[in-house]
Amino acid sequence: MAQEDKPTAESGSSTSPAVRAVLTALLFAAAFCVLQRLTFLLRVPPLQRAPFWTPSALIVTALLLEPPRRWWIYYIGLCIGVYAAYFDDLVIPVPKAILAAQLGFGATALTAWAVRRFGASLPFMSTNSLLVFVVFATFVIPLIVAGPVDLIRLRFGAVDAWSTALRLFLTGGLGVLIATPALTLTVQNGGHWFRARSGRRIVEIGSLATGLALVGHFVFGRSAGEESLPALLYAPLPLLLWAAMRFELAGVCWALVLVAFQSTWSAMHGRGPFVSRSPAENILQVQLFLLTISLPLMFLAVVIQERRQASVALYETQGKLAHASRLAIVGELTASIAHEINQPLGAILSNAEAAEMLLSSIPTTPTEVRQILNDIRKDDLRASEVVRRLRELLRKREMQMESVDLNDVVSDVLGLIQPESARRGIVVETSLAADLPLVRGDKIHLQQILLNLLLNGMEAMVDSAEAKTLTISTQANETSVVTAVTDVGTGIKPGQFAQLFDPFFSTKKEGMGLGLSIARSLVEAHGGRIWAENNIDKGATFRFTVPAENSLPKKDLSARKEGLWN
Amino acid sequence: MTEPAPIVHVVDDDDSVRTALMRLLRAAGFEVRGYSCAGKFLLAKPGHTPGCVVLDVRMPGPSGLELQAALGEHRDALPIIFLTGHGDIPMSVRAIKAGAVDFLTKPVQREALLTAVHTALVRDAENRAANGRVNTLRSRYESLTARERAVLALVVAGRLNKQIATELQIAERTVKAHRAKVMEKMQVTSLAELIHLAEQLPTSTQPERQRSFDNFE
Repeated sequence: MAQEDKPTAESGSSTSPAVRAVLTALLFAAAFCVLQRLTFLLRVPPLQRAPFWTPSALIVTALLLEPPRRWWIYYIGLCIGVYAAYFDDLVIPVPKAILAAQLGFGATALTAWAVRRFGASLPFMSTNSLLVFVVFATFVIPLIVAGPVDLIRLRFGAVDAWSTALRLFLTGGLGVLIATPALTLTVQNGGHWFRARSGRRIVEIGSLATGLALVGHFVFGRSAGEESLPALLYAPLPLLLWAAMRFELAGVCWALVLVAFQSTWSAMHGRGPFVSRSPAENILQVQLFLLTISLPLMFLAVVIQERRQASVALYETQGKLAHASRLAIVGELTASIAHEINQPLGAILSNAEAAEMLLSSIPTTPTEVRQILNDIRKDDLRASEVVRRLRELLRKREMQMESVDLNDVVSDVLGLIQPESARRGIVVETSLAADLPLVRGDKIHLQQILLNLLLNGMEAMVDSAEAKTLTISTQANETSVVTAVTDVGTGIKPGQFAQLFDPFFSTKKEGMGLGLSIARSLVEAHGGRIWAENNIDKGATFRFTVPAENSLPKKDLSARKEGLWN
Repeated sequence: MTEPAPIVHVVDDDDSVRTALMRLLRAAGFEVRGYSCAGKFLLAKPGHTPGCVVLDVRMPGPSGLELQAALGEHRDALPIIFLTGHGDIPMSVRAIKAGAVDFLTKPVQREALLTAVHTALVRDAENRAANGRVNTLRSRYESLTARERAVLALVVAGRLNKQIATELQIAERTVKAHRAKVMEKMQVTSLAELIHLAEQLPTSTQPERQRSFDNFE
């Protein structure tokens, strides 16, 4: 049934391009020959025609995945393959087959070109590129090819009851339509799936395939004598939808290939629902059935695929935004951070110069010089600690969940914010609960939340003439740790509560309005909650919760870990 | 006049920076005192002995510039060398205009610091000498009576005794007596000398403005 021969030969980088080309052509020829011979098995006995022509799909796949300058390799491979498949065939003579293959290759190249030209660069990743593929592969190209083939057939006297055009239209088109996405996507992503395989996924694929085979056997395997129930034709549909939802386009196409083989096979052997009329009409029925279920399912799968990609892209964007916002925080702190690094550097310089002078004076004082060296070391570590904290905050990273003590987060943040608060004449006080339960979280993101709230609080106190104080407090409640930042600034106007955490809402002149909205999304990614309220006397308090580690169900965590924050 | 050795005062809230600066200055042979904030420095009343101040601009509590402003109100203020980690132009202009000797950015090089300290100490010595002269002059001047001061002002303005007598509506003999008293109190023997001294008291001939000077540059 399914062929997974890769049309590209990956025979190591040491072989020369010519050898690689020859190997590719031969491998392609072999794959084509095998697929062609499998297709012969599907020839409906009295007519010797297969209703479902997959070898063309192999050519389309190769031409879609390879750049046009390498297409000649596949052309040669095709000619060899056709010869190998037909040299002892009783139905179609070799010259005729090779002649047809020329046309077939031309049509396929046109399809591949059209998908590249009008679709997206990655085939079958968007509805647009699928639409282009469907229109060209199943409608335009077969119609162009059907005419000349018709003439050739008439010339060779092969006149039968079928309308040649319709038959070719459905035979070639259907195979390409279903098998090409399956082959292309498997070749493209197969390696990735294989590496990322998970037990659960394999079980799911297995049960889906088994289900399809069983339902197929039940629907298509009924002998002609049994009473036929037309509604039974819909029985594979739930399973096909399952494939579309969970395994996207590649999954639904492989499922359709399975259904196509089953329905064709049973029609050939006089079983199933498509046996009531003449063989020609039966085949037509199979083809129309396959075509009508394939198109909507494939489009459904691609739409689902697009939505999933969009949500992944959204996650990535949010991660980038979080990172950009950390850059912005550091930007705001630049002056104080530079000061923090400069101080120890200045001390080191003066110490070194003092030591130099001491050493050149006659009664040298080793204890003092030793003390100086000790201080130099201390200051050096102090400067590199500032750099470390900064680096940690700036690094672009995946979300890393670990056990975190929020009090440690607070003290790390204090190191970053204190120079800045001192510069602005703000006193930062802490009121930290002892024996705080650990939370499951990302240390840097928790720091970022706190920094955003602190900068916000500082901003709220800019115009305040009285003593400016910011208080950070931590506190445990039954299931989570509550961290609060209290300022004595202007407070929040009643109308602003609703928009406070909205993106681009800002009361500051130069504010982007992203700090609080990012803080909220980070808190929510931790499974917590963030809110603000005005204090009774003056200013506002922002609080956020992070669930305590021991109160979290395990499953919840792993689900959250899949988020793509960086 | 034997003055005690000058003291370099280092005011910086950062312990390691302060310690390092003090070490360096001490190694260069200066007498050094350190203070972790402006308040502690003010409490030590350092103005009575010669010296200078090495002052960090950015400190919790009163900043270096605020301390400079506070010190500027005292006549015997010590010259200030500012140190800053993030020296910006407006700030240094403000500091220099307010009389700072120098405005150095951290990390400060030994040469720059020592040169600035030397300059500051020289300026302090000059200030003290000038202060001493002016103080003597002023105390002499302050010993004059109101009438003697008026006579002095008119003498310096180039009036003759007769004119002064008319102007003040007193006898010429009395003017002469006042004039002799002025010469005696100001410890001069000639009119030229008297005028020279009076010039050193820029506002002395205007009794109502006499207390308004603060700068002796």
